[in-house]
Amino acid sequence: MSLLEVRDLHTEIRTRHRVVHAVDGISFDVQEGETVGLVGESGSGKSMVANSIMRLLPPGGAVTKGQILLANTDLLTLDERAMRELRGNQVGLIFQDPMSGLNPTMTIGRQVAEPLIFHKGFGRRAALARARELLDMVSIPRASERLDDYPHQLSGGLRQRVVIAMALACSPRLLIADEPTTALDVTIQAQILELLDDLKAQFNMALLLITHDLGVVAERANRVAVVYAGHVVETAQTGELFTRIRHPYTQALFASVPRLDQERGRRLYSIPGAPPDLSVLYPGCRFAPRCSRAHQECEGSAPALQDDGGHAVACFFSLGSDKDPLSAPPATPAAQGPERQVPPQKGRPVAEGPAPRAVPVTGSTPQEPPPPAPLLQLQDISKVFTATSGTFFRRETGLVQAVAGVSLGVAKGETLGLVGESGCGKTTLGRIAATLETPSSGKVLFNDKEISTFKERKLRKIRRDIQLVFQDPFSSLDPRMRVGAIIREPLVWQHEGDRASQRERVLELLDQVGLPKKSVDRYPHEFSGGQRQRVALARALALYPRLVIADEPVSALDVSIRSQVLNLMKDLQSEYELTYLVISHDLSVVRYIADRVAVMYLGRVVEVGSGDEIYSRPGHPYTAALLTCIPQPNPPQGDQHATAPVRGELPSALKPPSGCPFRLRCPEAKDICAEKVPALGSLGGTHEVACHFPLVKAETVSRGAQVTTDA
Amino acid sequence: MLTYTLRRSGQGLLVLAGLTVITFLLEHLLPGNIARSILGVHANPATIAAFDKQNDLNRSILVQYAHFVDQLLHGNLGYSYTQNRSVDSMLASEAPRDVVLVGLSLALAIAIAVPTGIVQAMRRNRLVDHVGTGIAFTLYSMPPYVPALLAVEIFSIRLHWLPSEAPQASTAIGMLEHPAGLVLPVLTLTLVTYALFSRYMRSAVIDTLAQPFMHTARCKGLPERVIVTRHVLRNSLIAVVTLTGLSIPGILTAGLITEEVFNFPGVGLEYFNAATTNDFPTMLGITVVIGVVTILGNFLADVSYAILDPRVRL
Repeated sequence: MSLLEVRDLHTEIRTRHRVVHAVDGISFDVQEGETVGLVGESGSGKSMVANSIMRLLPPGGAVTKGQILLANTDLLTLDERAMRELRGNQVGLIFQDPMSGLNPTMTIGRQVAEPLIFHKGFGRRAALARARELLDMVSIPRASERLDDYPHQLSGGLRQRVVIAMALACSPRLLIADEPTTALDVTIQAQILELLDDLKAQFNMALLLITHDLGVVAERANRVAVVYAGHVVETAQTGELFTRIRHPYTQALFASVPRLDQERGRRLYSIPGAPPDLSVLYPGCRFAPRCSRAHQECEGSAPALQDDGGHAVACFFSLGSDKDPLSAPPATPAAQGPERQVPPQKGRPVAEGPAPRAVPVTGSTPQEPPPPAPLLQLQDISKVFTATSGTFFRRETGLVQAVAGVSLGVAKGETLGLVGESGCGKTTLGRIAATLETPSSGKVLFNDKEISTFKERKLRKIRRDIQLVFQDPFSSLDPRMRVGAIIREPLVWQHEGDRASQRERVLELLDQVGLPKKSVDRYPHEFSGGQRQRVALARALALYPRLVIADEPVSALDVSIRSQVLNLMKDLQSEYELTYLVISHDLSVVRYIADRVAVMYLGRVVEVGSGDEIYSRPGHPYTAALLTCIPQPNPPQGDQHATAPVRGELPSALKPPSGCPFRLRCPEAKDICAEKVPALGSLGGTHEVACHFPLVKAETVSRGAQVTTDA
Repeated sequence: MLTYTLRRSGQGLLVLAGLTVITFLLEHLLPGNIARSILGVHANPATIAAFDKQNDLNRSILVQYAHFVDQLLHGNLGYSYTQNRSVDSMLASEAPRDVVLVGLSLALAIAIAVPTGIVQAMRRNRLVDHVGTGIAFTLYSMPPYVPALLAVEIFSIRLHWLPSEAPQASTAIGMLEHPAGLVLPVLTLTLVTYALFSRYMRSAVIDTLAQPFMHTARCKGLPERVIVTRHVLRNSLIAVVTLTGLSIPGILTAGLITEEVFNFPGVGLEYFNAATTNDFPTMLGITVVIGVVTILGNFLADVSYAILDPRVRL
């Protein structure tokens, strides 16, 4: 029986100037005990669905049409009082950001106890006792001691557990999880998803899982609905959907996700254009302007969701249908793809982009050519910060070893990917390489010159050659400068040419990053996230740098936009003969863009090697764990869910464990791991790992370590 | 907490030292001569010279300052020749009545500003909010004597409801025994302070309401009343408390003017009279005391801040 039925839901947000049709006729249902995944990019209206169910819409928001039936009661007809009875009681909600979602001035025990007091008539004491049990259930260690903690005393992962405990307090029948793991690291994400699955069975609830991540739903959902521009474009059982994709948008979305098992060098598909403006009414299919299959018919009227044996799709020319113009779809969608953000190209597949440059470092063949001279060398870099406590009244409380003796080289023309979870020191290392931070010890060599000792004047010169691209394109561009001025600024300060030649260079750069010339006079807020990141790239390239350090360049972008920017970065690399240092928490992104990969954990490099070496034969248990944690958008195999391979959380850099930094979470840890810090040792070729018991055997040295083949 | 208190006390002493230097210098730069103001316009130069010598006034300003600091450290704020009594005894008799005036108004202002600020923020851009904003801005933009004079004009002169002069009792308790006379001065100071605090409170609540944890609270199905008392109030007060500390000098200044208008026997009135009669020791003494009160007030505000916000530990 359906627990939740959403019928033809229309939700609008009225602002002073326009009406945004955030949800434009969405229907779906959730059965008792079922997990339904709602997948879509930002702005697709998926979160508005959750807010509509809760009837907690932002100011100006209202449901204008449709029904939301929870156990056959239409929520839209209830008065506010009855709605309040229902929230947190029959329907629980978990949302993305556990950092700001908890009241900072209330203990977590009281926050978890609150719904019990108001919905179930618990006394204060009984509610707190139950809160302790709930914190136990969500696996918070030493729950009884934690009751009186404030949210800021807990890590992100623990806070999300508190949020979950709070949502479950009254044993709701439906749990809505809106991007529950997006703000978390991969190892923690796997733990939280597993926890949600366990609790779902324990509490006998249904789960509505809202996410942008196809991998998350592939592993956890029974059924999936794909949302685009306020519409459900495709819905089916998870296995069916992932094996027989029928909507062009779903297909394009899949193809845009970089895979771990993807052949390197194959160009990532990217959907041209950007999601539509939802305040403009459009008679046709909302995806038509970006669709490679679109016909005239698609622009005249919108296709309705047609159910075909449980697999519903809203497309006139769905894949595999009689009317499919490309009757034999390519074996892998990744094979096609327009390379730039060009005006929509309709009805014709685009040839594969240019082949990527030869990868300088390959496999472990003994007769490989000598590695090219390193452009950037980091020699035994350490960085110690003084930890302070208190927001206003700082006082030193200890030393944080952000980077502990890292040596790395980046060869000319190479892309080195630096991966690790938040707090591992990868950003600090990047800032040291960019001379924005001075190392506490160690040397930075750029082109064989030791730049870490340079003073201001010489630094300014060398900085021409080293440029940066930051994560957040929304805050890294001055909102009060026009795009032209932003890109021109480096030229001005480095006295590069006269005004006219500078303007010319700006236009050339805009063209190279795929932005129209008229962007010169626009302000950053007039651009989308992806376009802003293009502006940031143009600015970085203005002075023909030799090294570009990109810190999480695509993390803030949607999947379909992410692949556009990644492809652009690859194109620019060959055009400008750039060397990249790409810092990211996302192993799939690094897999796609990097020639060599270094994995960091708690300030140390634990493994380094070529992409193939790291991804197909990981030597460090941490690397292997990271790889298994990433949810892959593959069809689920039976009822087997991947279980979280790493327990616990990243230890504090204030009090790092003795010996190997990873030993407390490592399934392979032995006594020696607590005594000796393992040094990086060669596994053959360029593959090095810092582990006493590496998962793969070194080719030259034989060791008594067990060999694990990791998928 | 102890180290914090010690460090703050150190900072406070530095501020106080700076304050005395500046006030001391300013008052010596003023036209007018202490001896002349005490001995009168007909004093001959010989008498004045004798007076200066007797009181060290002929010594260098540095020596005079050193002497002042030395006395200060012994708890001696100086001696008013004009009034022929020590500044200490003056403060001991006047200050308690100020506590009545400023304390009552401050408490009333906060008691009104906090709920109105919350209501305005929750009904943002509706009629209630516009009316509240109008009242607050009108009061805020007026110099403190304007509401004082208006109150006298309306309630004393026209309506004859309330006396225009504060009770002239010698103790704080004595003041409270004549509440009618207290109404207008307390009301004036309350309104001026309220205008400030209600603006602070309103914007603090608006900020809090925009926080994601408010959404959490609603998703829990809590009644609006509980959301306000448990989730909004404490988080909003965090911002207001610091501002309260910073606004102490402003409130004391407004108090000074209020005392003058209502002839309220307090430190403010003494200060006003001292300024008009070149009574330097009194002015200097009161400035030092107000400085100490301001520093203490800010310290208390920071301590309350830390109590309200668990993320801040002193």
